[in-house]
Amino acid sequence: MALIEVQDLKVHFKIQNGWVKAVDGVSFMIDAGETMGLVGESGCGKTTAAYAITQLLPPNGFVKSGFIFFKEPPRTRLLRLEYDQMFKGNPKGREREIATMRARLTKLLEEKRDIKDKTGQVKSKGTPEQIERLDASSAEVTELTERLRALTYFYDLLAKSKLKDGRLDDFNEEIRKIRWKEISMIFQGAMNAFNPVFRVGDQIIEAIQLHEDVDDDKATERAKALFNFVGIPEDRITNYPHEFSGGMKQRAMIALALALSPKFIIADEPTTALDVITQDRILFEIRKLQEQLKMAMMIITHDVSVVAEVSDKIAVMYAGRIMEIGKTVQVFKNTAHPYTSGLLGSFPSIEGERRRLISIPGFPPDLVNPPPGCPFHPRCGYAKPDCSKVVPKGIELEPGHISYCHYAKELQPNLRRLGG
Amino acid sequence: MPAGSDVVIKVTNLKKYFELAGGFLSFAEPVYVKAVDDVNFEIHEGEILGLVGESGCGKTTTGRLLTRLETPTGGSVFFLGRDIALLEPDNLKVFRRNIQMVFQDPYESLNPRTTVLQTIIEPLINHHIGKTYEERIELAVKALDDAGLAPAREYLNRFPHELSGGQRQRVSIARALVINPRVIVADEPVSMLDVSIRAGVLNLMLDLRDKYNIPYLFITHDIAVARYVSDRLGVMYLGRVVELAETDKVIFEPKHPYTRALLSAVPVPDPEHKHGRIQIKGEIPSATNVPLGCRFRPRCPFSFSECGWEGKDLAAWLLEEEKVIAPEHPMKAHMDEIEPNGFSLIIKVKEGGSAKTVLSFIESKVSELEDKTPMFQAVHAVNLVEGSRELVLRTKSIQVPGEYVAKELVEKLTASVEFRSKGHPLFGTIMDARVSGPTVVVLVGEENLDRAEGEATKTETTVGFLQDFVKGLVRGGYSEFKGAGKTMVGPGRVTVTCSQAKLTPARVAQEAAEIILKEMQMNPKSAFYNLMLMPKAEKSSVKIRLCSGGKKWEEFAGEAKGLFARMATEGNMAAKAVEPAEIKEIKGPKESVVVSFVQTVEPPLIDVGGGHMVACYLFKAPAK
Repeated sequence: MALIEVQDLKVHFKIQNGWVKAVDGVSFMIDAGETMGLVGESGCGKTTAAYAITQLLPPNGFVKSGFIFFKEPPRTRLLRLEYDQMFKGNPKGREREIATMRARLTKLLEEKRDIKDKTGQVKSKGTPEQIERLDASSAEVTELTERLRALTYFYDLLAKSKLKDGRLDDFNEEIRKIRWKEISMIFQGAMNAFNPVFRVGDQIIEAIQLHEDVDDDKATERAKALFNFVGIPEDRITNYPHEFSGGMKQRAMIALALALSPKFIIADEPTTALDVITQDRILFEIRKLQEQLKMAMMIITHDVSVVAEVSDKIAVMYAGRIMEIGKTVQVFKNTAHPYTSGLLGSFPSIEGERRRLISIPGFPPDLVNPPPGCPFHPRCGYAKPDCSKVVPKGIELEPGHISYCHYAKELQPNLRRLGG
Repeated sequence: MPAGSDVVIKVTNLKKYFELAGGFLSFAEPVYVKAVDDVNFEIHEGEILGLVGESGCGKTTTGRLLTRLETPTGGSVFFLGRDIALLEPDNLKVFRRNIQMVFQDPYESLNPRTTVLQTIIEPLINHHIGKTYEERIELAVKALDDAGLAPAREYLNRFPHELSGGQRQRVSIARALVINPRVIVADEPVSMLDVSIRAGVLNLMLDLRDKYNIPYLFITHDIAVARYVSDRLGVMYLGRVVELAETDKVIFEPKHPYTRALLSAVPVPDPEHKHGRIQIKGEIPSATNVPLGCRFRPRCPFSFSECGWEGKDLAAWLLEEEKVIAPEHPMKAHMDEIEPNGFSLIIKVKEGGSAKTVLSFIESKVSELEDKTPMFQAVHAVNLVEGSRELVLRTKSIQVPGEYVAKELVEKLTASVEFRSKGHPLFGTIMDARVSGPTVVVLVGEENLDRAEGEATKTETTVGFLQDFVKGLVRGGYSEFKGAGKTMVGPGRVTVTCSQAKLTPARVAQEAAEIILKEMQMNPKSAFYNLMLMPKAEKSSVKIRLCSGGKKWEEFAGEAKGLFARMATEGNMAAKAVEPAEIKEIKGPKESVVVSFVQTVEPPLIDVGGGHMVACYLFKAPAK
């Protein structure tokens, strides 16, 4: 079952001359124990998507639509954030919606009872149509019940934490329970992620004690264990951030993210500013998290080779949208989107023959006025007239491998891919 | 590129040390960051030389030294027959026309207030290229066309903020190209660019090389990028080139352990790729404290006894592996401080502790671990030293005649410029240098009669070079060459007249320290060989801590006296100014145990076959 599910997420930033559509309809899901790489060039919205999940958006960032589910069994701990409704901000509309849903539910339940009665009367298992109908309505009942519960819960929450402009309060209690405890982050640029005037160990202990009721000794013990896990000598716990090298800071950052044994870690460019050898060691630590702690992760990076090293699946983003998503091998070996193909073709490698790199012509679009239709069409060598009119729907080529290109099926055999 | 093609730039023993500020009124010895420490390479016509390494390895400083944005501390950069390391500021402008640079960050390297046209035309104005404004615009348009900004005229009046990152970097490239440089130094030109843009800029640079045959020095931290663009690839570690060969040789047949580790850590964009990893220990050491012997040794997985172990290594072993300061350790009661000193480690014995116990503990460890650990195999001697003494050699100033200065100058000249080897840019220009009384006679090669207009004659090149060379020596602290600047031109020769000069006590001390150091490292018969700690040159003396067990103190004094007397009769004037040695008691523990390692010099960068240069003792030059 999916641990985190993002559906049609749109995050726009308000600026002086309009809205920057940083994330414009992104959907993906990550299973427990799975690592997804979110790849894209700078400014494609990958970091914004991550910040939306943990609700750390800057004040001018608005979630325009979409759901983010963070699930774990039992499903009562469902968090549902339907921001779209929030913007309408009409209490009557909300009540009406709930009322319609209730009515539909009652109707369904009656219908269900009817069919059951009928099958009871004829003392048989019922006709195949009846059985099908019964199954369908019970499924709808379950979904409706859950949706209703979530909605009422959500509106309660909203009443408590909504700000005047419609954004969620930063101090939204629900997300504070989840952030770091369940979903933690490894921030971009670990160099500056620690407070320079506090000891690194103390910052980890603080995180533990904020969320859990443990005494100083126990918290220190845990911080030491975390340091050991990420490969820093435990006596360095009393050091200040400036006494650490770049690689050690990144390790300490991982320790901080692990402090409350979260279910899900978002790593934002975890190795970008590091040297090759240090990067290799940090990737080793990340693999350790996956293998030993069965951690689900989302790794955000611009470097496809880093993703190839550590992730199970990969989502390629461009101009606020996902272009292609699938298992890493599927995306790399059976590339089905011209952008992915271009991205892979412009990466030099130290393996194999030296072949000429193929650059993608043009440059990324301005996200205030993104091109209509497929955002990649102005740079795409395969673009046809309808590419500039219709936003492509996802085409599932293999189970789990989706390409957001109108001509994915036709293009797939011709696209340049890894080793091709 | 063919190996024998013309050398455009030749870098020999290039050094750049940055002095760390010791603070106002600080009397502590200055600390130097050895950013570039003895780098050698050459760039041929039409070749792209890649330089890779981790951050802080000195690759950027090397690039800045080539363009003389930094003044080298030592060594030379030969370009068009001149050593540009020695150029005076007045002569720099002419030279800078020939070497242009493309910087890392196109957002910061373009002035936001000037248009593309102004940016590109400025070097033309500065170097007086193009007679009219229109002509200059034509040149700018051509450069922009070359840099792939088409149609070029549309870009002329744009400001940097109207351009994307890739376009800005293309403007930087056009700015470098517009004055037809002979060499381009590109410092991480694509690291700030997005992936989809990067390939275009890299291809542009390759195309320009093919079109104009301009050589590049391409500096990058990204090995995959370096592999893509460069013909030959140099790998730097802690200020030094440790491996240099054709790119595919470095990538597919790496030899130096560091290169191997580096390559095994490079991620590959292929989910099915399996790595054979070579793990290396620890982190890159600070460039203020470069390890003696091979600088990669402390992290090297293949290190062996000959790599040059030092006191620091044993100190680290005692503290971290053996944990001698732990309360339960038997040596805790006996050992006091441990002080690494060059290739030796001084273990001070506590008052009330037994020096013999410490000695036997170390000796037993050495014999126990000798076969297992290369470090213990490299232990040369373990000695018990009573008291703390040092050998002091006082120095005075001395007048040296012109003949002596001339002799020294020829020695310096032949040692630092291999003008007799074919690959050297001065080959064929300077034929030989001889002493004749107080003058140095430099023989100049036959003039090339059909040289291009404006090109310097061989005599002119020689005169310029010699003047720069002497000035460089004076700047480097060799005060005796102050009176040696006068050059005269004769038929087929240039003479440098050297006048009488004074050696200051500090200079004498410096020379004396070098003489002793040479004995310590090179002469196995000498009493000094491997037995002492580093000599320290001071203002008017040389001091050496003595740490010998078996020999009597007086023997050293005698040996030193003999050594300098011998050097003096051989004609070394500095040796004459060294007074007889005296042994002095100094502050320190009553007893100490000194462990000394075999002294080793850094492995030189040698050709191990087919132009594959490696600086590692694991590889020997092939027998001829």
